[in-house]
Amino acid sequence: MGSLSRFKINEQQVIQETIEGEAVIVNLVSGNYYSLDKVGADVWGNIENGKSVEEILEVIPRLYRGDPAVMETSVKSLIDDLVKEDLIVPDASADEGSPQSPAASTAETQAVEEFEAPVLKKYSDMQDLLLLDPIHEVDEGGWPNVKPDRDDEG
Amino acid sequence: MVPAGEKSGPASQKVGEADPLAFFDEAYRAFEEAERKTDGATERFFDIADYRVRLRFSSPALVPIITPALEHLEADRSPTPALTVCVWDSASTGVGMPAPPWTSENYGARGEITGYSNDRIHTVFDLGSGVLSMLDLERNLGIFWVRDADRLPFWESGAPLRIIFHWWMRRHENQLTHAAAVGNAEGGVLLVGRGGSGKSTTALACLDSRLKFVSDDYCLVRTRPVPHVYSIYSSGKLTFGSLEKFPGLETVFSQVETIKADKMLYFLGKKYYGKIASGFPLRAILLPHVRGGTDTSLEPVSQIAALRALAPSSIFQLPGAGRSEFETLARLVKEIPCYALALGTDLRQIPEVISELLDG
Repeated sequence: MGSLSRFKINEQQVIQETIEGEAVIVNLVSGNYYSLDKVGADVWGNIENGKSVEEILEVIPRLYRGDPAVMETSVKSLIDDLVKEDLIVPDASADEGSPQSPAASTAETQAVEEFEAPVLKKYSDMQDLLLLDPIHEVDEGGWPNVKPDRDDEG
Repeated sequence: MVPAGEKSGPASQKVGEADPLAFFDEAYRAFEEAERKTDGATERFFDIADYRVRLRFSSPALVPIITPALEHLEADRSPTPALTVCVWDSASTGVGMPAPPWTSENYGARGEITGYSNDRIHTVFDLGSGVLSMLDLERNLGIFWVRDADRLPFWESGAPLRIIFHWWMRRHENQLTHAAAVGNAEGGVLLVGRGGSGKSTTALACLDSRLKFVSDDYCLVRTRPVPHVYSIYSSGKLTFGSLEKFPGLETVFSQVETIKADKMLYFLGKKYYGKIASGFPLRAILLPHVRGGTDTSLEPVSQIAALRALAPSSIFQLPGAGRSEFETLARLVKEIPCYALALGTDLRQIPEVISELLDG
């Protein structure tokens, strides 16, 4: 992870929804989509709420029982994955302080669940529907040549 | 062939220089010229989601490609259609489409032309089919053009004009959605999941029951004031292996085309139009999956699992779709219950299980 410790959702290319503690995240540019649950969804929600990495590392041990060192490594690893997949980007307003958010109220929460390392599940089955290569040839009228038949979704 | 970027016209097209309305008007004038020059210009009317839609064909060439999937919604001529789409090809009319004023760098991942879509005009060139789709939302006027009707991939005929319909219908709060739907006048279910999950098997298994068919592949969904689904196409895709499960089903189809070695595109025939509902309120979302064993059953599934099955395949197939469409589909999964539909080999149980859910 880089020196910046606060990230935000890459809203230029990402749409996402969290329902009942699970998140589905769609990268409109790459064609990939993702899911997160439990710890992963909590990390995602805290990023969405403007928490820094340090603040997230304080929140997670209040929600889950486990080895703090393992939690830190796992959460940082997940954040690295989110960055690599262009789902989050460094927050340029990082020095302006953390906004108050519902996650702040977790300070008094009793940890009841066992910690499980978060996994970013990635789905790439929609990529065939996107033009990911540049157009190389056009006809005499200036219109692109049609690429070979694709495997249409059904 | 000419390398991209070396065609005549502007060497580059910056967004600030683009004039989408001017190009739309140029394309429309070309359509009118094609209509004038050709014998056999014709109009057809359809009622889609309570809107009367007029299709203006400049020649007969595209009529048998565009209309079969819509015929169950055919309507009387109207002097005041809500939407008009001008449909033409250059090969049968001898009139070319004006050269695009943009360059290869303007093409987006889903065919969107950067700088040529705004609040009023939408422009997409689909690299898979070679179709140019344009829509002027202010005049409720669309343009669908392809070089040569005979070279249009015929999977395009399974969901014709879907990009134009997507843009126009979302303005009217109807979301084009990749899903099947079956039910009755009181209510029905949306069947979601990727190819091979069992959507088509479920939809077709209900043809021989009191449930009606709304869609196999695409339908229109609205969430306000209450969740509702509308039929748009009578077509669907099916593997030949799945067809073997339904002896005699071929007689239900008016037309069958082979997409790939193992997959076909079908259209429900006229005598089954009575089995197609124009729409109904939505009561549940089902995620079919093929399970070993004889019996079919339902189990509750999370809303997020339903959204994951529903949203990506709908959004990535529709240029310009994004946050707004995602929010509509997220609202839908929160408003009605979601179930996994485990499909058994006794296909008669499928409509029975769905009917029990709807009657319950």
